[in-house]
Amino acid sequence: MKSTKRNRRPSEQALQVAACLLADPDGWHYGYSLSQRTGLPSGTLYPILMRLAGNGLMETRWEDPERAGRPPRHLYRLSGRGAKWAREAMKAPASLAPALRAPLESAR
Amino acid sequence: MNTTARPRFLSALLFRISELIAPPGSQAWIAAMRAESQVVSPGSSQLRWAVGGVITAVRANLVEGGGWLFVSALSLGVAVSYVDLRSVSRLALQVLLLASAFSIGLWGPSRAMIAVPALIAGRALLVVALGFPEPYSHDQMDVLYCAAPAGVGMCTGLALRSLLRRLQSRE
Repeated sequence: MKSTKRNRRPSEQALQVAACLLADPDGWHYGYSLSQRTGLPSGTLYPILMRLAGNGLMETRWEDPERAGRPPRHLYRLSGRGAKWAREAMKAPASLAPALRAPLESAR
Repeated sequence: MNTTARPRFLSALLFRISELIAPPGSQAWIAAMRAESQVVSPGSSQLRWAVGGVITAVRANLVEGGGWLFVSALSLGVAVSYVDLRSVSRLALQVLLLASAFSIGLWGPSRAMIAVPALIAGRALLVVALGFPEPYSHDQMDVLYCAAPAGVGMCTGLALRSLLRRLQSRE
């Protein structure tokens, strides 16, 4: 996916995803667990993940399949630049709902 | 077919459609969503997850240049329908739609899945914009005059493309 050149303010949903990833910045996250934790449907979550990865804010990797015959799962975590971006984006507490800040604050 | 087999079949079908719609750069993401669907509880949740795959593929397609294609196809659909509304025969419209959809089908599935529905939607848009002019108020099934040739044209184009690629790979 093409990277977005414009420096637009991230959407509330993108901040939700960033907050979840930032709650455990070194850990790898599954798409389904991110969907459950943020409450975002897959059709909203994945375009956000694609955008974050396309802009170099998130790292991705494929996990080895747990069982033979099962396809490998995709894992995500914020890159160093992504973690910095997420922290900056979270510095606008007035514009963020408490639910968005909670995962970030628990990570501190 | 039992209660869990049907959603599983439908979600597999939706992921196949997503693969066709998604541009090459987004295929890995659709594969990721498909792999993740294995851990989603079977039933309606799995189906919703698969619908998200189609939405993701369409959005990726629109972002990666498909937006212009969608607008162009929509405009073409409106233009040919406008000519049709002022013509005594539908043959010209049907041939034009068939040929356009066939060409788009030859171009590739990810483009066809965006452009051909837009081509069909162009007619509906015009009919609504003009306040349902005759003969549409008399015949609700009139939209098929547009959807059928476009659908047949697209499928023929895709089939020919697939055949040509197979022949090419054999050589």
